[in-house]
Amino acid sequence: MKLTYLIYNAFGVGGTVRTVFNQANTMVERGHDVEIATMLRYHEEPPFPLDDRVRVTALVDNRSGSYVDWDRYEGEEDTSWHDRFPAGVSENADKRRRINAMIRFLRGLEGRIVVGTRPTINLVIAEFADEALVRVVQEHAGLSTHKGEWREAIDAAYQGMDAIVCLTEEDRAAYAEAFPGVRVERIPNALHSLDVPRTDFSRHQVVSAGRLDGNKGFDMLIEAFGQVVEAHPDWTLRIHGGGPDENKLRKLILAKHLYNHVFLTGSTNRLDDELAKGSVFAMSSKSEGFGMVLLEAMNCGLPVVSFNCPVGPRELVTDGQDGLLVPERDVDALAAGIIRLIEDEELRRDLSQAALKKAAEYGPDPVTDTWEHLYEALTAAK
Amino acid sequence: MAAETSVGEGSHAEIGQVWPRDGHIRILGTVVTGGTPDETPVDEPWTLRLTSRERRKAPAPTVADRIVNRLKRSVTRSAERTPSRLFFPVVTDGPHFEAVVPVRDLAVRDALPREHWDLHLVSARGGKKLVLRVGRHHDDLPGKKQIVKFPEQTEAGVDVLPYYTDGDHLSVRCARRDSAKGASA
Repeated sequence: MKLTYLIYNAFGVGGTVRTVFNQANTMVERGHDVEIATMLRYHEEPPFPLDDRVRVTALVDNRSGSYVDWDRYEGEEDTSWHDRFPAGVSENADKRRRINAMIRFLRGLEGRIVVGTRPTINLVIAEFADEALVRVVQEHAGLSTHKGEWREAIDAAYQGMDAIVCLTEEDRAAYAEAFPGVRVERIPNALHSLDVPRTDFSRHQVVSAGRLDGNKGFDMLIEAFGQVVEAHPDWTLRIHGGGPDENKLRKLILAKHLYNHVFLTGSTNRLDDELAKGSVFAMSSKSEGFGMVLLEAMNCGLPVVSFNCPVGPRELVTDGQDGLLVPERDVDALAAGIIRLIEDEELRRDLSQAALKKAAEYGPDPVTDTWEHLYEALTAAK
Repeated sequence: MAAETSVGEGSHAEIGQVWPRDGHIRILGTVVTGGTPDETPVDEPWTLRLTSRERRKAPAPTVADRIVNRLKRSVTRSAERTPSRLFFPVVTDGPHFEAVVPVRDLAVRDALPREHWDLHLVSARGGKKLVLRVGRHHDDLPGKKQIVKFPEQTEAGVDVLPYYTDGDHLSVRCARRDSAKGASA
């Protein structure tokens, strides 16, 4: 089969990029023709490993410092589509250039399965990709996160798609109810490999990872770790990732005098190695679309403790069996959960073993099988 | 005087914790030789030495400077120039050490607009001087200059800030408040 994934920025560090790359790598490994079309390209190298056989097409390439469209188009700007989408889609010249490049790209596709990975892209696919193509929505967000004119646009556009694929069962149920005429599936993100470094529990280190923004709740994790340090001053916390809240979090670390215990290490392209250095993984997100990094930590054999977000962690973790779930946004409970794991080595090891079993369910093979079966069925139904 | 020499590769004063607060910079760590804690006795107690990069580099005073300085010193002792090396006592327990630098000792009367002090633990063993750079290398966290930020303390108009260098050594930056603000260490 021939697959084209459309993604916003294949050269930025993020969960969607990582999971799409994982899918692309496993599909190309199985002999399929795989292409990733990215709306932006600023860097030479992508942030995660990508099989050489996966073609990368930059719809707008800015590596040289000036914009170059994928087809080197330099003609008149097409403005005819502006009123078909929410106003934000055409609000500035950069966005309009990218959308125009994508429209021309989609019009040229033949005999391919087109997969959109964010709402703007899905709206453009619904409007401009040939209906004879298999058109699939990969939804990384819950239906309730789409508001106002976006929700209206999505309600109209997704009706015409061949399938909507969600990450969690809760999302699947919500989309199935909203789009009764469309095939809606739940296919979780796959781990890129089950062959990753495993923790040996030798370090007194708690780890976490994610974009440093308000949603990840790292301010709450740092607060909680202040309590952990009072009980266990020989333990440290490493948070891997970058983002807009870095300075705010650094100020919090200084104010709490946690500079000997809490380290914001920045982004890493060796996340598995860094996770495996920890002995406990903590997740403090206010919400998660899926909770990929939680799964990656479990894959490294880490016992995890997480806020019980509305979706995501609660589908990955069975409290007390393969990890700990604590009430969302409850700093004291998060601290107590971390301390419990620190103090109970037997529990750490039991949860670790169970976490490895859970992670295996999300290995590349079972998840890729599911994708293949879906794409085959959708192609046959055309 | 013994020749200044380090005790070989893999020898340094490994930092465990740095506490810049309450008017002091407290440093806790371990003497490390060949990558492992070293509690071999030394000839004299360990001392923490701070060496100013800028004062070492200062050009030799001119004849006129010397005369002016001599006059100043004759008027008041406090006008004496701060030496380029400052020494502070170190308490040890086996291979572990603790040293405390009062911030007021770095907020000197003749503070330079910006000054950087490099930290070493010094002693001697078998007649050979030991000079161990203070740094943190055993935590598998290179690049601490960007990762670890300590709080700044201010004394007598001088901002005093410990920081990790590009090589994960510990240094202290002092900056006079009346000089340009905002530049990084």
